[in-house]
Amino acid sequence: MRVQLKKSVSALALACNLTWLSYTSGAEVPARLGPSFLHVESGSGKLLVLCEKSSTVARVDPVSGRIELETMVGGSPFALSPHPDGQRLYVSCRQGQEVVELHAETLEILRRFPLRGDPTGIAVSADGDRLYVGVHSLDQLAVIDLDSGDEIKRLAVGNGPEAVRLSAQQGRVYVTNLLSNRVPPDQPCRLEITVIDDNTARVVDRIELVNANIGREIAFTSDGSLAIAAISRPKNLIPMVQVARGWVVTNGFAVLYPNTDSPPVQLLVDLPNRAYSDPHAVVMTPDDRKFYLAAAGADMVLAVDLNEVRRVCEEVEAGKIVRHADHLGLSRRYVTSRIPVGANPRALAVSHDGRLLFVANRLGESISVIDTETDQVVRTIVLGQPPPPDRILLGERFFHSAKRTFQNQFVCVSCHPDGGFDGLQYDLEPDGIGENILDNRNLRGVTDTEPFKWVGTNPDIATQCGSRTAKWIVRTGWLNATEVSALAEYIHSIPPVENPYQEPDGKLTPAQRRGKKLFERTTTNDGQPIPKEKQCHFCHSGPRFTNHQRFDVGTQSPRDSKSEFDTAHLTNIFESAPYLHDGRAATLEEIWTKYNPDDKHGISSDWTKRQLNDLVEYLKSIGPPKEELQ
Amino acid sequence: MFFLKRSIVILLIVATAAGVSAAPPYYDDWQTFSVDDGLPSNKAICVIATQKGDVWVGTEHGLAIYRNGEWTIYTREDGLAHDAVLALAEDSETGDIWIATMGGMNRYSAGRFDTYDQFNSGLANNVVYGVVAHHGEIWAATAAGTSRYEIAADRWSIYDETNAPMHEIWCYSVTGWKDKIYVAVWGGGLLEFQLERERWKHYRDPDGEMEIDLFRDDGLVHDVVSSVSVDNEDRVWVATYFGLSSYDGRKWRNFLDHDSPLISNFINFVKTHGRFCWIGTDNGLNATDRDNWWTYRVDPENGKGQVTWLSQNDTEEHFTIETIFPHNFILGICFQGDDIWVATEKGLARGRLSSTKYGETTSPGSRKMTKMDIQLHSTE
Repeated sequence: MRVQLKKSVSALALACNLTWLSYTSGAEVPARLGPSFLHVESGSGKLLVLCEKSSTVARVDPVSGRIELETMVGGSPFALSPHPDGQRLYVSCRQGQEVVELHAETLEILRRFPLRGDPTGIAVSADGDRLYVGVHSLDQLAVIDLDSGDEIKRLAVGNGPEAVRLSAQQGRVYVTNLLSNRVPPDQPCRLEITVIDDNTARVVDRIELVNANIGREIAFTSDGSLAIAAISRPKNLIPMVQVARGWVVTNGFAVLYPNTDSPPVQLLVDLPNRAYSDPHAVVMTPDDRKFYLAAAGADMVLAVDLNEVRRVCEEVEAGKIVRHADHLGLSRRYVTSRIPVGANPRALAVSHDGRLLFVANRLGESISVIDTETDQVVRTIVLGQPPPPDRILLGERFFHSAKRTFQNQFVCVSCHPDGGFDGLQYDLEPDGIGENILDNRNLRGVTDTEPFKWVGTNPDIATQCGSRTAKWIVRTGWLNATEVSALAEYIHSIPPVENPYQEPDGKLTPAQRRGKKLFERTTTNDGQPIPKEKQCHFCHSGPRFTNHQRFDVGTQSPRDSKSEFDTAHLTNIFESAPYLHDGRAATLEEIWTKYNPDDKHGISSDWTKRQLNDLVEYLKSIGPPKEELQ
Repeated sequence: MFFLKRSIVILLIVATAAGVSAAPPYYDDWQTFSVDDGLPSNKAICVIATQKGDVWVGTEHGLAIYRNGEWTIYTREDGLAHDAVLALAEDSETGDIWIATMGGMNRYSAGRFDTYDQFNSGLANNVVYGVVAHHGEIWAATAAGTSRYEIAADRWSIYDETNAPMHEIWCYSVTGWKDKIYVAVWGGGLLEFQLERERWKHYRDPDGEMEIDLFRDDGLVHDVVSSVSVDNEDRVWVATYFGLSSYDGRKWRNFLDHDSPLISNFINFVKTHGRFCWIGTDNGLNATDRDNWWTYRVDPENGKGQVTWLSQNDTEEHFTIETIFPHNFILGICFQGDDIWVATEKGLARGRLSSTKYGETTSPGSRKMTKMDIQLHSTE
């Protein structure tokens, strides 16, 4: 790694209260940090900053703006939770597939807890005995005994656990989930917030937010009686062409009333002609007067009057406000400030006295400091030496910025959160309502998987994300050719997730070996030769398991104008349910048990159930080519 | 001296524990639940009591949960894989309930039903007769082998005739005990899977005879095994349609209706509770610790309960109690504190553990308990 861990840091105060931090030793190009999580230390009030890009945790003095200490942890640190004893910190490392225990003072690594899957949100139980860790790719919450370090159990949570937060006052742990629970393609999405009893470490409630998706951070009032969760509200059940006439994705938050029977209320932060996309982080002020919500796609932080939100919710409950969840005019009542900050604000934290709000600008490599009385940015702490602009960074900013979309309504990550996918199906093109419904595709690991689109008409990402996107999706001038090229470069650089179905030694399990044999078979179970085009590895060939061709696998529906579809690559296919071009198959098994009646998608009618299981085990284990991981 | 004191303490603890877990099996004050009370069907197939204090009942027309004196019903409309619920199991770690049905399996977790069937998952077959959650794994006895689901790894495995000593694949029941999984195979005997070693061991009727048991206590009494349970002394109790077997790890002991107080050889279900094994047959309910036997039956003439105790020294006592379960075809048994729940062909019933007044409150002509009272007092 290029990050210099031992360095002297000098603060250079610039005009406009801008503070630059520069590395004075080492001639290497500065590494990007990617600040993506903030925590204010209980005693000192200093900031602990998780840096996704540099895989470090840094202690920053908010007064001097200096990085005082920096420690390398595992790949892509995601979240941090302090132990109640004040002596230890826990950091989940998403790419590292582990949780690390740090000394709270020295930030030395004390222990490592390897996990199967990619850990996301994290929280220590109120008694300090247990650790709750979201495992995104397996839809689980791992519970770890902090005394022994052993994993006790896995709880079933929603689809892609994201934030894990303890509400100590309520004795509950709340888990937001990135994606909606799986629903049929013609049904509205349902985002789950999973509630765990901190005493029993069991799931006690599942709060469903209908028509919501992309759940991010959650925050509580000081007494725990109210919670705010950042959400998006996709409109995937109407044609995407409606973007020019209204909205496609709206952005807001859900108001939850823990331990009561009151239903959650969803509200928007958008305005009729201006959206605030990719709501990501939420934090309350200590006096519960307001909360802040980071609209990461808008490079904005919104200040929200909590008392007014309560009043709106009361009016909703009384039936005085209808269609509140889609009401674009309501936000004027409770959003009191819309504060421009740096690029891609992804994390928020409030100082203990409530006077300062800290904003981690992930792509801006900075921390904005906001006075909570005036809601003005009073300074910007720039972390490290700004790396020279490069095309991937430029592309990443396009990917995460709503500035080029119609009325700033959405960003690429609105449908491809974390560079992946949103699990929904869309009617993208103006060919008639309900015609050619298509499943959204994962953007992680798409290099060398061209062509793109399910009908395979786009030869490369630049075509996919260029004029097509301008015409059908963003409906604006969009990007010029150079910018599109940069965007494509970034998309190609999005790393695949760690595959939890691969064994640590890299070898296939016996079931996976049998599945591979079936995948590569050339004869049926009774010895009859299988035509080449019906052998799995004919279409799904090469390092990406695609031959880049289109085939009719018998999945054309009456609403599809074409019968041939792009051969999907199989890299990390485990994570991209649902399957087939329109998302009709909820699981890999259903591709063959329900949707291959005529053996057009390979000959599967002679398989035993065990063979199908073996094949699925093998498919789920297919990851990116080894050299890519290195 | 120190060791003597410690031994006494240990003995007292053991005795107390035995007293709690092995209360003499006299139950009275039975209450019956039927469709009139809110059950979706009178045919109650299985019943469990959860750690939270709820009672879950699987019927042929849906799932019923008894909570705070009220029944809540779930059917396919609510997400149940199939209305015929054949077995239930609670994951003691997560509190999730696993539901075996005629159309797949559900996980019920805090209000959410997840469905696993042979089409959308690695489940071997949609006809799931038995299920158990054990050490973070779910084992399901299906009509086409046994499925194993390792939750943390999200991994399914199937055990059938190709990779287990399973010459029949019609698995009827499954249970977990310590580091072992036991599978009752209809026609295939009893299978034991050792989790540490990932190895199978099978137990079959040595004589292989359908109608007779050639040599007494020579092994499993019959290969048509319907249910299995393990008691707190590590004895495995095996229900067959042709008698009852128990195995202590070294020796088998078999019980038939003509040479023991077993009320019928046709056994649907066995459930251990402490050191007792409860046996649900087509002709009533038995309980035994291998030496003493209790029999519960409903008198079809008057609906009253007939209770018999037969001690190992052939002392026999008969009681008549005013209430009892509604039918002698017993399909499921569970325990909840001092209560026993019994699922029958014609309804569900709950019995209360009787005090020593049990004998005094029975009908005239009944005899008071003697020996068991003494045992109860001694253990307490």
